[in-house]
Amino acid sequence: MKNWLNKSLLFVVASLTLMSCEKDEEKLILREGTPPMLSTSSTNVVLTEETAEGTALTLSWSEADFGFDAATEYSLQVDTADNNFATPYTVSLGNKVINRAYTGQELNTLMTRLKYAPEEAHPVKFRIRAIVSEFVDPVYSNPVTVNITPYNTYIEPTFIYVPGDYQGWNPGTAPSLISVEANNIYSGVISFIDTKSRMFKFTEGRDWSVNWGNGATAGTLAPGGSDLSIPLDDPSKPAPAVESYMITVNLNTLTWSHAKHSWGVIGSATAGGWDSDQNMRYINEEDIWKATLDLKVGEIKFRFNDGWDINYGGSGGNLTLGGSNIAVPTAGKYEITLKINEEEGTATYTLVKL
Amino acid sequence: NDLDREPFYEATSASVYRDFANYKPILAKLYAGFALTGQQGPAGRPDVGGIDEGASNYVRTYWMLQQVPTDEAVIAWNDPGLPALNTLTWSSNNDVTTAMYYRIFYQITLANEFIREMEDAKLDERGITGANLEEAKKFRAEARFLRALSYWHALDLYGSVPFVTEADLIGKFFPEQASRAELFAYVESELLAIENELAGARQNEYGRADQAAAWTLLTKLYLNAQVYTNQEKYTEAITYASKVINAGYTLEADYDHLFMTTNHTSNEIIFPIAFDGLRTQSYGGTTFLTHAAVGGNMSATAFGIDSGWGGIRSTPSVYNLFSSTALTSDDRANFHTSGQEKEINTIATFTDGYPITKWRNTNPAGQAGSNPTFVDTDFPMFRLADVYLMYAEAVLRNGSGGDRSLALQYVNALRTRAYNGSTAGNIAANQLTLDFILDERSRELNWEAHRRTDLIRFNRFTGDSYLWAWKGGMMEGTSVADFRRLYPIPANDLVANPNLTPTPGY
Amino acid sequence: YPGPGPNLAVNHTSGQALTAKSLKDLLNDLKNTHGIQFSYQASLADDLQLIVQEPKSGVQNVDEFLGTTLASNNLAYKKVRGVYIISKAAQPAPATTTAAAIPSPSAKVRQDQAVSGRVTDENGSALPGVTVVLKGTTRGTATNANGEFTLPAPAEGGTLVFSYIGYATQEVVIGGQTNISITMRTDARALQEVVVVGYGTQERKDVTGAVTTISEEDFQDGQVTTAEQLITGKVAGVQITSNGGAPGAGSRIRIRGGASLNASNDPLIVIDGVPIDNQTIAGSANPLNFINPDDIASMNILKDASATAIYGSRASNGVIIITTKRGQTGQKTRVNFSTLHSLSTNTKQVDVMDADEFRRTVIARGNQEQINLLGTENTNWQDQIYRNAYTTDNNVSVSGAVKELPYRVSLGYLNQDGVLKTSSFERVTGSIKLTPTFLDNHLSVDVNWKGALTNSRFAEEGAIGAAVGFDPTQPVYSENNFGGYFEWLDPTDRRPITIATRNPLSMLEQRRNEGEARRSIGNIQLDYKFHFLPELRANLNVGYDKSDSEGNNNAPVTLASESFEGGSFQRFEEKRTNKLLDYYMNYTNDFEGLRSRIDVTGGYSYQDWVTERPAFPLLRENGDVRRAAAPFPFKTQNTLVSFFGRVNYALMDRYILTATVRRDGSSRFRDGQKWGTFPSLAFAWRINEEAFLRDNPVVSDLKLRVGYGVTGQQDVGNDFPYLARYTSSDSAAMYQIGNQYYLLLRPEGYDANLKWEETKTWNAGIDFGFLNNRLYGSLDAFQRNTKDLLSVVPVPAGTNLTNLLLTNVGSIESKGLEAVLNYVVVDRENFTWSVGINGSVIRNKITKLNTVDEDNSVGVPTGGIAGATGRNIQVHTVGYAPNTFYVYKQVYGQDGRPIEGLYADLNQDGIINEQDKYRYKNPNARLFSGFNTQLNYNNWSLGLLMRGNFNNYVYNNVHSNTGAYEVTSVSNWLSNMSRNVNETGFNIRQYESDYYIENASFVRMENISLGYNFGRIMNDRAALRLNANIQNAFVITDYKGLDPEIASGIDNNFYPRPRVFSLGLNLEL
Repeated sequence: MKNWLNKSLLFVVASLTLMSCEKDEEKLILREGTPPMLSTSSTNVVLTEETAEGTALTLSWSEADFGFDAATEYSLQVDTADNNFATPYTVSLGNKVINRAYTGQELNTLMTRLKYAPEEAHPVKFRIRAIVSEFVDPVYSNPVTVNITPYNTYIEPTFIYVPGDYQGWNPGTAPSLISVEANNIYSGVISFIDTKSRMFKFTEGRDWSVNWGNGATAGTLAPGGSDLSIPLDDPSKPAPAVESYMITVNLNTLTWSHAKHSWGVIGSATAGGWDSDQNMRYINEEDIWKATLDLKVGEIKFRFNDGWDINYGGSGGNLTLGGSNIAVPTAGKYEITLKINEEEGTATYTLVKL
Repeated sequence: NDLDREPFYEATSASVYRDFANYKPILAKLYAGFALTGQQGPAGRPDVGGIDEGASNYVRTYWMLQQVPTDEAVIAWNDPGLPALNTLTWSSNNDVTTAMYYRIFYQITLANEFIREMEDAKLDERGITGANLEEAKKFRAEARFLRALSYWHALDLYGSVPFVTEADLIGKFFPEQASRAELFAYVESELLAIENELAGARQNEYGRADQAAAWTLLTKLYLNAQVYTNQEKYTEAITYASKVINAGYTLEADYDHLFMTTNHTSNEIIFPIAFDGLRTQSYGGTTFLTHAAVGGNMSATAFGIDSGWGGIRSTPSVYNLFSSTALTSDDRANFHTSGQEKEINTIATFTDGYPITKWRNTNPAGQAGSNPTFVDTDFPMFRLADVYLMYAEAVLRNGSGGDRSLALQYVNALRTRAYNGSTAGNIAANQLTLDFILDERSRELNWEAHRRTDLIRFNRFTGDSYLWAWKGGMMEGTSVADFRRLYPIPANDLVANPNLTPTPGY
Repeated sequence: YPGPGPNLAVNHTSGQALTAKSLKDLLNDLKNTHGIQFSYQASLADDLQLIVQEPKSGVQNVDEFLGTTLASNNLAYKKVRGVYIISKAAQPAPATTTAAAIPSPSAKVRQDQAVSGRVTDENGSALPGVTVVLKGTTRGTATNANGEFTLPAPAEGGTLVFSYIGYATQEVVIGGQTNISITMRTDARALQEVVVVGYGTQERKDVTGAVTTISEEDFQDGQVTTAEQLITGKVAGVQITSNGGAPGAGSRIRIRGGASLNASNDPLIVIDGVPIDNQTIAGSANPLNFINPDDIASMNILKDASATAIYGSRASNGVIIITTKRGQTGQKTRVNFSTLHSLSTNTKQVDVMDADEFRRTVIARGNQEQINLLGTENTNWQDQIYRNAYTTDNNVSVSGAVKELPYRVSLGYLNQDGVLKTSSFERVTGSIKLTPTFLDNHLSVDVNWKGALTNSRFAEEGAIGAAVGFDPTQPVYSENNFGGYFEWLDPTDRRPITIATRNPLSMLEQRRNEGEARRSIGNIQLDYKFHFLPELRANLNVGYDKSDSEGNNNAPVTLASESFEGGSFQRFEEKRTNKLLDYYMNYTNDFEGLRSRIDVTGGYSYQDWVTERPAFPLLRENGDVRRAAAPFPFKTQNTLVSFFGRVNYALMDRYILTATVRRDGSSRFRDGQKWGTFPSLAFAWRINEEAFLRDNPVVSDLKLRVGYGVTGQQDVGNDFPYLARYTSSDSAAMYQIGNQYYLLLRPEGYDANLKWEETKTWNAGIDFGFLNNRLYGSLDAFQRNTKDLLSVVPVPAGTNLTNLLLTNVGSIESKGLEAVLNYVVVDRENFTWSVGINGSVIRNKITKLNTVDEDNSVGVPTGGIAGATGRNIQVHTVGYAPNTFYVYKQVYGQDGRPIEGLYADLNQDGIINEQDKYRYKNPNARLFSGFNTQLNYNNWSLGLLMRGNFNNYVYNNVHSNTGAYEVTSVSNWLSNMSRNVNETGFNIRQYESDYYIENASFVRMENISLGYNFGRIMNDRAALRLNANIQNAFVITDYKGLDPEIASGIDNNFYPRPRVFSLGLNLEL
């Protein structure tokens, strides 16, 4: 009896001390992810503008399995057939989604963004990337190749013309204003010359058949209205040799407006020194600014709207905003051009001694 | 009877209202509800429990909800609830939306209690007469204004919420939910009812609400009526904006002075939330706004504070609202760029994104405020510039009774002030468009807790018509579902009050 | 009566009359002449005839008379609180002589020699009343007041058997000696005869509830600073967790785990009849700091409702009744001196990077700015803030009786330094206890006074975290304006960077946070037995518990954290007054015809508490006001008025029924809610007294207990929770209107209908003893349901002046099992070995938390953690234990390491947010147990005490807060990391990962003690004992932090519990 007691007591003490101290439930262990399986609704898609609204292609895939309930983020990767996803285009589709339907327009936009030429069939590879954490390698689905023919989305721009006193009232040779999106809103730069009045009109074509002039109130237009004009800044002073304006016409609302838009050449090499600049002319068809000037030995820069807020300097034909002065090593008569590339934010110039 | 003990020093509701001298300290508590977090500065004895006291300050959470999900701000910290605000992925358990909700209802309940005690019959019973009676009625009108203000916040942020008035006594019951339109009607009727009981514009003591405060709130209500009730009220917006504009307020000469320690002297501010480094201390309000925007290589001393908390910056979209010229000449382009990246690669890295340096604890001479931790600067809840822009917007939205040339004049007044008196930044009539107004509101009012409401009114907050960094959780920004225009009623209250239905989408 | 009849042939001196009397008559005589209470077992047959020497002049000294009379009749008595308890002396072994050898009553015994001697206890004091019997005969005597005896013994020798209640029986072979002196040892198995219950005492056998008594001989040895440490690990169902290693720091006492959620879960503590104020007193760390453990005689722990319900509304969390030591009538003056000297030392440090590793890490991961910040030193900051600390504890007491006035006075002095530099605790205690009787013993008076003076210096415990986080490459000191301690300064203005870690040594050495507290507890208890009806007693107890404390928390302007504000000087004072009046009547009688005994008590109690704290301004070092004082002082009062009653009914000494009721009225609730009634009922069956077990050689004790009771709780830390109060703000929370700043008046949230929290408890238990109680123990099962919990819960928005209201809502349920087992393994004259083990299993669950029935809410967040603003790690949720951890489910890589920020999307909506948190484990141990063993060999004694908690979980906040490479996120200061970062590789801290919830099961060697008893020294003038101790010798655990035993379950820079080595000496004169 005593023995039995001793033994059982020892057992109780021992079992208490040896009780496991581990957490007593399963840890979630990340498994080597099972990749998603991708399938597409079709392997050959011809896109057209007419069917742009409808669904063109549906991608479906199975969830990747990482061995636990993951908030997996899926992305679509697109690449050309032979590039094998070396430099894929990736777009996130969101977490835990398992399909994505593309309308014709969406798919076309995607193709355009990837710079695929329209109206031709292209074999394009798709795959799905699944990510659970930036610290865990992504897994990828099987690639699926789809032949896609995008349609052309390029919109033909439309033009109106600005015949006026400054060019001899000739619609045939008048500079144009452009509507890039063909939405009846036109704009462009027009340069006036001091010897002429600043009267002009807008014409639909290169003739007078449809034209617009002054409407009932300032800033409005009426078909066949009286001549339009842009008044001088300071009527007491003589008109500047050249003065340019950005003109905007909205034929939807029949309104127009203008804003000073003028590049000039300034500097010790010019007649006005560093105090005043010589305005350049805008050549509409070339999208270029020009001036022909007598220059001294010295330096020049280009500046906008007679102020220093926006000015260009540089060398070797290239310009940067606020760049250094451009040297004019020899005196003489020069043709100076300035070309500004709005999209790229770059500008170039030429100095040609005549 | 020894079992009937009474507090030794503290008053009870039975005794406190016997003495008219106590009325103002009780009213002051209502005003202080925006600035302070409890009865002990800077923290301790909180008004709202269960949540970090300093982080849940009224102005601070209101600012968080109005700014952090928008293009104007991101916040680096990992505090509960904040990361989801950056990315517009909050849930009904979010700490910040919960904190704001309870702050709002704390204010409403507090106001109800006071309004109940200010009933004519009760005042009469206590023998309050003459000048005291007049004053008590003003107090009551102001309490109703403050309640309307909080209800406006509730309907703007949460849409449909529980509805309680002074008719509901303190206790434990289940309030009914009112629809957004009902709340709109209630706030409108309250403001109209007290319009003539409040002190005239600019006639009240500093810090207290006057007629102009009520008019400004009405203007805000009407301007957003389309969002709140699907009905346009732009004409009314013009009516009340005009009342404010004609009330004798003037623009502060120097824009930057509006956000400095001396801003209580400004004749532009219509309704301030007052702070003081020694006497009105909390970790919210301008103390938060000043500290949280300082980090990286910024000098804390220059802002009049002991050190920065490295939290809030703006996204590139806001910086891009200023042209390169404007960045140097527009007084409102207050970006700290040195040592900072323009792009926000990592939200948690303070040096990604430009902080806005408008909030300061210094006076115009650069001298620091009374305390290096707690900021003296007051928070302008309503100011004239906002009303100018609301007027212009209501005119552009074809409300009647307004005048386009006046609208242009008001907008240009702001721009002239911004360009230090030069008209170089003024705009022409044809540049005054709705899109311009939205941008100008950001330039003029950034980091003053307006942006979310503005973006929603312009239909840019959700969806993909306008994307900015980290909208929807993507660095380049992505579309966000429309239900995010409202914050969710907190899960806590859905459980506590079975009469509530969850906010749609949550 | 088993065994031989009484020996009528005892030799006697001529001249004394011998009479035979029945025991009962004898006692009745004494009762009538001296007004003495007796108690004896029914098994002592009523008709037992005794041989009594009739003194000529009547009995003068009852004790002496009884001693000799009873001893010679194989009986013994023990006197407990004025009651003489009479029982059989240990039974002599059956005679082995033949029947013929049995002496006949008329036979004369030959007297060959007289053996005499002296019997003393372990302390060397004389033991009167010890029975000395010649083995195998019925010859016997008892020792006198000096412990001396004389017994005629046969010439051929024999064996003397010495026995005495509460002591182990000893046999000594005479072998021709004529002088035999022995020391009696206390018997570990001895069951206490008397149990102190509320408003009176009960005999152990009559107890129907779950009550544990721990008396002096079972107390912890070694450095015991506060009373609760005496019983740590000793009682099943009682968890005592010290709040850390700070000197004088208190403990969290939980009896059966606590019944409340937000109201206090501390037990009621009653000292010598005065329920003491359980609040921590300003300027002191622990309410039990004021009692000198050396003055305590016994502690009774009342665990179930049938035992505690007599204390009604304060009884839900159990009651601890402390009784202090007293003097005895007729006792010689006894002086006791003890001194103990201890050295405390830390066992472990937080595992942070050393300077070289830190340097490597920063160079590898930091940017150039950060690398430039690295210093060239190798500083172990934890070495800087800790020390080995010395403690001395000295006590002297004098007890005895001046004529008929028994007294005890004592004086204690303790001086304890903490292992964290600048922490210390000093205490002077004094006590006086007088227990005279008057009016022929009809009036007993019990006067108690206990006073204590404590001086504490509280170390800035923030230094613990700062030492973990401080850059180890920086020097401790440097030239600057901040006291010469290295600090992280802003490179431009040379002011401290407010968010950087502060120099931990500076934090300690430059701040003086000191408190002095004076407390005294006094009471006078009058107990009057009516002359015309001695069965009826009236008892009046008047007492008080007062404390006065004051102190200062001062930091100079050179302390970096206060440098912006010009220093910080804060004074505090507090005064608490607790008044008590109890009055009760008790009637006790035996109705022999009905074989019944009845004991009825009814009474009234009044208790009142007042706390006052004057308001002081916060000053700068130059004396300027930094923050004005509050507009008025703090003062609060609360009163409790009660009526109580108890009936104890015993039938045939076997079936016992106890019923109690208490009605409490509290000033904390409004009219209509003030009063609560708390009844209880319990039943016990003493199975071993039934005929079928009475003579069973194996079963020596067996008792079944069943009880049910209702208790309450009202301790919500606020005396006016139901009132619509308006409180004023302080001077830093004012608001500007016009040119004035106004203090603000705020209406507080309230629930006008607030009422008692109510707990219903079922308890069933069994007490057993086998083999003459060599193996004994008990087993209890209980279930407790608390409803109308006083909880702070979210109320519907817009309905109250707070979002979290203290109201009666929800319920909580606990179930548990407790077991105790003691076993005497070896029991020889010079060698005894006993072991004891106890264990408890408790489950708590919240069953309701809201006014709404269908409750699927997250619940109420709780358990704030260090690191991020406003983050909680625990939650109270329906269906779960309180304080359950609420965390994200961590996903681990193949290598078993956690993957940073990767959690399971538990609600599978593709987004990881708050809604993916789950409830995982809780801090409460599922099983906690204690194990102790005692070995005695000759004069040596060795004791061990171990404790274990199993499946208690702890959130390792030190790891979560310092275990990530976030050094790269700040530019002008660095902070050190826990080496845990090497395991996780985390870049950003992941506070809410369940990775940091660790199983903190442990076994702690609480105490190892070794003693040597020199016995009588200096020519028998004194007795001396020496002892040596190691406390907190070691801990076995898998927990990765410093200490697995964290009451809150959140381990954030805990003041380490040191290992303590002590040497002590005990001298009795």
